[in-house]
Amino acid sequence: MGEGKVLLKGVCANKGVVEGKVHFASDDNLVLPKENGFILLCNQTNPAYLILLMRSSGVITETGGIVSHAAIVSRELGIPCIVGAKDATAVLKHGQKIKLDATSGAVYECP
Amino acid sequence: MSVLDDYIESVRIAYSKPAGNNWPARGRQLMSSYIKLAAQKQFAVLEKARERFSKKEVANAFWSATQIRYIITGEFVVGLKLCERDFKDPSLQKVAESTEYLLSLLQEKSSKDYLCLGGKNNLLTKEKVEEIINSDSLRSDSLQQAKMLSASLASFSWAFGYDTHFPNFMDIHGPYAVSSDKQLLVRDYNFENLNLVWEKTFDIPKRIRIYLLYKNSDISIDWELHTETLSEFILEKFKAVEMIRGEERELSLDEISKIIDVASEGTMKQVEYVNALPVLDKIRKGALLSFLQIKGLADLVGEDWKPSAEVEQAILQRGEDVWFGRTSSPKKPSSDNWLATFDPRIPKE
Repeated sequence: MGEGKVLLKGVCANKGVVEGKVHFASDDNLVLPKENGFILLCNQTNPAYLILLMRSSGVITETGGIVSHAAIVSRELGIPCIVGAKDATAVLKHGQKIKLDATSGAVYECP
Repeated sequence: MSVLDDYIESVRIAYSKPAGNNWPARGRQLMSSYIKLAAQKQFAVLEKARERFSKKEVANAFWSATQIRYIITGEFVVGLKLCERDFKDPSLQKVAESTEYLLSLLQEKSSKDYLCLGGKNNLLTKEKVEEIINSDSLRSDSLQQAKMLSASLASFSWAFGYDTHFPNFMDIHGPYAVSSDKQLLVRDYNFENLNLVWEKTFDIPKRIRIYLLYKNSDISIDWELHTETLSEFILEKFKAVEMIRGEERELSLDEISKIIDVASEGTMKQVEYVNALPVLDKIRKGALLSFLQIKGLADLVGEDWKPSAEVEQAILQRGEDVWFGRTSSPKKPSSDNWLATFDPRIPKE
């Protein structure tokens, strides 16, 4: 099966490929979804995002680099993560199904 | 190549990576108010210790090699260069000599690859690594718990040390080659001095060490404690211990679960607490964390480690301006600028 359309690109912070639904979070909105395995989308994480990170299967942050909090914790957890994905919170929608290929730093549309 | 050239090369490797925009503040916001005073204090206690104690004794005043690395590129070189620029004291030559001395302490502490130029921060002996690998206590039945323990303790260190000073509490060492496709990575956590900075510290063990065996052959660690890998991390086995007076006591899965809960809750509460602090109090805590780095050294020479009244004055005078960025333009330095900034032989403009 070929890849879907590339929605955005970022910098790989931890390699891996995962498919799942986008869960948008912000400092003012740290709601924990009922089901685990979502792909966390946010501007950047800080220690307050720890539980969300632990329950996610992948991470996309709009800012930050490979030494940011999201990058460090995703490496500890062994989950795919891209950081510095410009405009990610505008391009991706909460609940959207996507494929995160952190190895290449790309996010693909899922059918 | 001189020792200082090698040091600059290791800084170049660490600073060539895209930096994070982290919480709650990077060094510029925190340290700019008091960096010269912090560097002067570090310099003074270091020189006193150098006169009176052996290199080994002085090196042992730091809990980890990483702590020395963070001092050098944190406040020491930049702060002293600012002192040289503003009052010609100490001289640039003295700054370079003193930096070389710190690098020699680093070598004493981490003789195998003290600058991490080979992608390693190796501290354990080959015999110790073999003993760990050959023991039957490495477990594979709860790898998710091992990951959560590691992630929650890293976040805990971050929340209590800010990102700028988390090496006060956390160190990563290795990778230790076990076989052609397996590497051991060790996380050390030291929360013994947590209560010297923070009023509420939660019921976390003082010293924890986690041994993590990965099916991977290309993990690397640089000067700034960044871990990198060219493939996915595949955790195979782990062991978590509590260190009590240097002796290791293996933690049960129930104890690990409790530590994960305490570290997670502590992290959340600490974030709420720090976010609610007034700006100057955030900076004051940053100053305490900065000065905590040399507590061991200050104890060795019989001096108080805490920030002086001058530091409080500097924070009162400059803290808000620095925090809100009213004193200088926040332009992003190029990598050449970083190298010039951290090279003790190049004067500060």
